[in-house]
Amino acid sequence: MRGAVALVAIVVLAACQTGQSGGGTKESITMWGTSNTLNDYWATTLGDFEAKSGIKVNYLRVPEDGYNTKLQTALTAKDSSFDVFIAYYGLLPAFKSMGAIAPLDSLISQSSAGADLADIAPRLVAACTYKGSVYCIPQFGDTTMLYYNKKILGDAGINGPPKSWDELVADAAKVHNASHAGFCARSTVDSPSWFPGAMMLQYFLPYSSQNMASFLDDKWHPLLTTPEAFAMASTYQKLLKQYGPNGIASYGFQECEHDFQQGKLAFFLDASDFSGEILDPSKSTVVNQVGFATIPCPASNSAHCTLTAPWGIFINQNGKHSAAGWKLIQWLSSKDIQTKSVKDGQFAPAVTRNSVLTALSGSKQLPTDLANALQQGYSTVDPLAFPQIPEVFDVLNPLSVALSKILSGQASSTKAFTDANSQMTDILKKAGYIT
Amino acid sequence: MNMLDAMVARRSARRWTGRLATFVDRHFLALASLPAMGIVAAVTVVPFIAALGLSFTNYSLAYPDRIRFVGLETYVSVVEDGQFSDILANTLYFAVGAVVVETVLGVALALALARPLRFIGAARAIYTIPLMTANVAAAVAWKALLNQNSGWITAATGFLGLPAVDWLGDPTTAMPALIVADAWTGIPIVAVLVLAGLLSMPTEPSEAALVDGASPFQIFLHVTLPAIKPVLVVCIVFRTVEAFRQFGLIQIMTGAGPGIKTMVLNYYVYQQSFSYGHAAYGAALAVLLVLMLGGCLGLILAVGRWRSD
Repeated sequence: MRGAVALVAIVVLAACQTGQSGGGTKESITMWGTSNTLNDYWATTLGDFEAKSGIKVNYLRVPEDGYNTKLQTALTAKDSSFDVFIAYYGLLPAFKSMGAIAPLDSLISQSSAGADLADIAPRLVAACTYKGSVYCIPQFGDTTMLYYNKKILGDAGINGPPKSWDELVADAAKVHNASHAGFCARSTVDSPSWFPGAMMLQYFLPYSSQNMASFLDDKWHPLLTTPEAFAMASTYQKLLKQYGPNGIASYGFQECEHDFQQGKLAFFLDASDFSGEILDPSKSTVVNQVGFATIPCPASNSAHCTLTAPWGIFINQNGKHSAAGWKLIQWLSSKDIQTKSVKDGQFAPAVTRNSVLTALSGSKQLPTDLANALQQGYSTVDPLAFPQIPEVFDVLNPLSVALSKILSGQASSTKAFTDANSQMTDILKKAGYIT
Repeated sequence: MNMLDAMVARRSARRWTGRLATFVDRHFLALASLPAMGIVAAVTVVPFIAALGLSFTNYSLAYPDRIRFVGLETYVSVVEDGQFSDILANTLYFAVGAVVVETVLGVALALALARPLRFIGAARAIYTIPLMTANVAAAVAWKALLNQNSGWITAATGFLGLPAVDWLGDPTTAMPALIVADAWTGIPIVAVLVLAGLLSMPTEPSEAALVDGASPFQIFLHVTLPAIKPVLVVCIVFRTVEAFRQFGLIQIMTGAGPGIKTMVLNYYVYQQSFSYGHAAYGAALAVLLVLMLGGCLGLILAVGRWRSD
């Protein structure tokens, strides 16, 4: 049966393949990724790599919707038609379980310049690490980011970004009016709303190194019925229902980002990788008004209060050109390419190297407060905030449903979180983690 | 001797050719349908049997090596799934709502378009535009139309002095909004098929009923409806199948939310199978979906036949 599944997957993927192997004697490798700003930009730089290395790169980019499914199906089928792939780091345990990825440790140690991992924010490298071995190189950083409109805040007499969530609620209340909303975060089940929800939980729940994830205790029991989680749910409800845009229950990240870009929003909470589009004058009217911040960590969680969701570059264990693939990975994550990408107007979280962040801080593409917020975020990220298990998205879905129910008035915050806690428990029991 | 052998061989060849021609002649219909039957079997029967087999295992994309036969265990898990009854209710809500709205309004539209009016050809062409629109494009357009802040529907209701509604984010309006969006393409489909039935109807029975003093409603009920019933049954069957299969509209417009208010079985199959990798669980849900659909179609056909008898 697995053979049949594999055969079908290979036929489908082969049919979707757009690139062809290069001619001549050049070694040819294939890389898979999603179609997004950074990946599309990378495609324009591959010519230089090909010229320098003599390796032809077929770069297959597909829309993000359905990419994970396509990738996982191919990896389960041991598809060898691609050598390198870009994927969300949270899938690392699933890839490992499928036997689809190999550790990069020996490649890293054998490289003359190494991958210079010491220059990459340590907690981003930790996100690519599983049971002591490095399996991917962070493609971009990504961390919790609070975007704010300086003009709206200034008009309300607020001088700077909030220093706590209570302060954020107070500021949102102060600036919320008919012409602009106070606060927005993606809120639909499929956007998915667990993402900002997890960002907030990460801040509210006290850190413990014994936990299996930031919201699972050391015995895999969810922590959604703790007083801290209820406080988070209540803050979430207040921020979005009272100070969010009209129709917040059907807002995804595009709607929040659009409102912010159009000056209709004071605060926008999401991943740092939106900074590029917010600073793009062709899309944003607030380029000169935007501020970037991360809320300082609370005492109960002083060093692990932000979230990261980097995508990593992996080598397909079933591919045939791992050495050439490793050369490509090193080149893409190099200091030169990161510097060039920012100078070419790409989004700043593409920079994972401290040396590049420091060198470019204060430039037009990387305002000082953005560089500072990124560095602060990277230094307080908890790379193990999500459970490192293949069922990670299954486990997170009840959180999305609960947040959606809160915003659409289907349940109180306490009831929604209690139900989500019980659903998460069932999933973890069924998967054998809770005995 | 050689000539004799050649004659025997020629006669034998003629006999075989004749037999083959007779066989083809007798079984022409069966032979002609063989390629189609083969393709249908390959793309529907075989995958269904594979899904059925998969549903009796614990196969998961994350743990492909741990596959084993588990009997009815997966089906028991489905029944014990806390969300399953809500999803089942949502599925029936959407299917019944969409099919009823599309059939009633589709027949009404067909009756209007069957009248010999001026420019009726142009009107018929205009009403078929939704049929030519891609499902995804229709979903994106409807999502924009229903936007609480900038959608045209909000603008229209605002013009009438009505409050703005978050159509897709409100648990009471999300499913009706999906039904309306589905009906936008469904109504013209029903209308086109019923119109074909109406235009091929003999006019004499209606004229005779009119002479006998029957009202237009009586003529519709006792003359037109029985005449178009076979077409109507086909329409209802097609639209029911489409309603149970609906996926794109839901994914784009609501993502099955708010909460799980618009989560239908077909979407749940996708979510479980591909988002979470529970292939066996998804297969069991798919089998139940097929059985449910089969039951509904059986009921529709039985009702259609019963009314004929």
